[in-house]
Amino acid sequence: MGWAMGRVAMPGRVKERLPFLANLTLSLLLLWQARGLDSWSILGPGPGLFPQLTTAFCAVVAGLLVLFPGLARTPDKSAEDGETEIGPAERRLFLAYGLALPFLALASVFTGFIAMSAFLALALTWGAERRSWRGALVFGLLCGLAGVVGFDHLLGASVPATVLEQSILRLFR
Amino acid sequence: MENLLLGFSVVVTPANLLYCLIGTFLGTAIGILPGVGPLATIAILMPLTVHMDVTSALIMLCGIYYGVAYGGTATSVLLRIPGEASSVVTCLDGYMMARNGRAGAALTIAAIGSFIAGTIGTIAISYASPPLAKLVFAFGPAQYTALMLAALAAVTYFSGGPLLKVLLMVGFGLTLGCVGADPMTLTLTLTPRLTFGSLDMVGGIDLTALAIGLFGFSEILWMARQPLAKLKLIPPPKTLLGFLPNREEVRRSVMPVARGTVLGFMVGVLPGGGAMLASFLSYAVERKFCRYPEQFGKGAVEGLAGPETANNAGTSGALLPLLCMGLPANAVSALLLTAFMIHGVAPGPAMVERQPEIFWGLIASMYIGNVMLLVLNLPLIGLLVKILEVPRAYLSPLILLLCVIGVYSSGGASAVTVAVAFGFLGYFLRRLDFDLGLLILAYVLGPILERSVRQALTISGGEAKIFVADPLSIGLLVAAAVFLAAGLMPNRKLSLREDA
Repeated sequence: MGWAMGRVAMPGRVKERLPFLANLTLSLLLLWQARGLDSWSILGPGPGLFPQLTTAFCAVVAGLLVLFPGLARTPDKSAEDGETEIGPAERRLFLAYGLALPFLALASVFTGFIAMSAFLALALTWGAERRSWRGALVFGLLCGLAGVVGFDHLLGASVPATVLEQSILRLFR
Repeated sequence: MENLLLGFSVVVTPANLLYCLIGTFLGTAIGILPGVGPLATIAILMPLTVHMDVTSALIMLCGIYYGVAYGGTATSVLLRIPGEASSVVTCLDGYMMARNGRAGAALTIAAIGSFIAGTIGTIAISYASPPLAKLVFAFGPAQYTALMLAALAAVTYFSGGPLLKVLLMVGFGLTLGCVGADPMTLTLTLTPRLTFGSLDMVGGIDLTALAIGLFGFSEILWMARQPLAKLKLIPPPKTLLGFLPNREEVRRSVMPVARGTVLGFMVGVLPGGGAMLASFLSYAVERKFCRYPEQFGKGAVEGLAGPETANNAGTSGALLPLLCMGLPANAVSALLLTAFMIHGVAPGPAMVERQPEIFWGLIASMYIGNVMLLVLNLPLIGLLVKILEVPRAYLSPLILLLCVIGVYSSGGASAVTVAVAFGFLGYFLRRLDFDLGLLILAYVLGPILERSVRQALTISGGEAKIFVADPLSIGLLVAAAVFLAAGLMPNRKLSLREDA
């Protein structure tokens, strides 16, 4: 019985340690990078001194948390009760929004702002939130135009631009 | 007084008044909207202000900062949804007052209390700034290092989380601040640090990308996981008469407003204090002082007036160390510090002495901004809460696109990629209950701390004794140690939360 309970409890403990283990790994990697820098030069403290101190500090703290994960628990929260299960609808929505973020990164390199807005609105407003596709498309195109004209042209901000955006901007200049 | 008149002469121009109005209006709107905080908004707008006049830009960004506390009140009172963390306590008694048919009175008491706190806070900044700025001139690099360490230790204490977890975020933020070319190496070739050989990283991690990733993108992911709840809005009064509190309510608000103003300002000045802690503390204090403690949670006027005043006073208080010492007390003021720097203004004693038109213009704008907020928050509140009726299906893509414009304007396509990466990181860190505000604060403070440490060690020829060579440094380092030791005590913030 005790053995069985131990087996059930193990994944929870491992799960609790995982983020700290990831932190420790990252800190050690950064410390390894920082060690290649001079900590002292003839002029005084070198570029490596501060990064070495901060990364070593992170590594020590993360190491302590890997060893004693209980130190990271809030007094009013146990390790297990932090997670709330979400339903399939929320999971689908989360997935759509999760995919939208890398799309934005790619679209800011390859597509212009108007296409990005239109695709984003279609994906989220129509695809994920189940609104009408026409409304979503119009909304996306309007956002794209507002971004180009309002933000880029009037406010002096920059938006990802292709031939389409540049042609629109030329109309206003 | 002369200085303040100079400030008013700077603000009372059509352009500056307009930017003040835009800032306070945006602040109110952001305070109303749950999910879009002042951090993400200031980060989005920061790159857009680059072409603006420096005073106008700072007036607008500061308007957003202190306007948020007003906006959060409306949703707390009418919907029981805190638009901002500092308005959480208002949900308890403010909402119950609204349910008891006193919505108008609750909004008025909160708005007037906030106005009094904001105005007195601004007066306190006006009078405290010049002597404080003179005092800071006495600080050398060693004392400044000790001050920063004390501030970081205070922040870790007030954040209320488990100490090691909080320290991990501080360490991580300080490390992120080191990424990129060493700013102090005076050679022709750059010395890249922690870049893993990537040329894109030599410029460092873009603050706008970091802030928007952690507070904009991650918030959208967070919102996507939440089931949509039907909003039950208690309608605000249709006529101005409906907003008037009765004599009993006015009498019961006077002392909580006075106490909230003093307490909130003092807590706000402390590093890590800020509006949220001020409102929680004020609620606990009012409960102790109130003649009718049994009414708390059921619509006690004191439970609304005190915290609402305190959170605004806390917001004003946090501006004092930022403006006079260049020391941000929380994540939002850390971002404001960066906004100042982008415009070539270094907040601190030098700003008070050498750029009085900016410093006093900003102070004067706060007086005017508080009047604008009072006007915005009473007759227009019914209209403003309609923002909440915009469906998530349209609001979320809009926020995402605004975030992209902000990041792209600041650092191009590569910054968008960085922001997305930090968006996912921020989401997971939030799920694991890490404090993201600390990460931003430490990121901004990191380079300043490093400069002080290196200057101090250069002066001393590498002798670490310089950090304990005078009573001021020793006092500050002892304060840091006390905060860290106190942070080890369990249940230090729990009792406060239970009170609330």
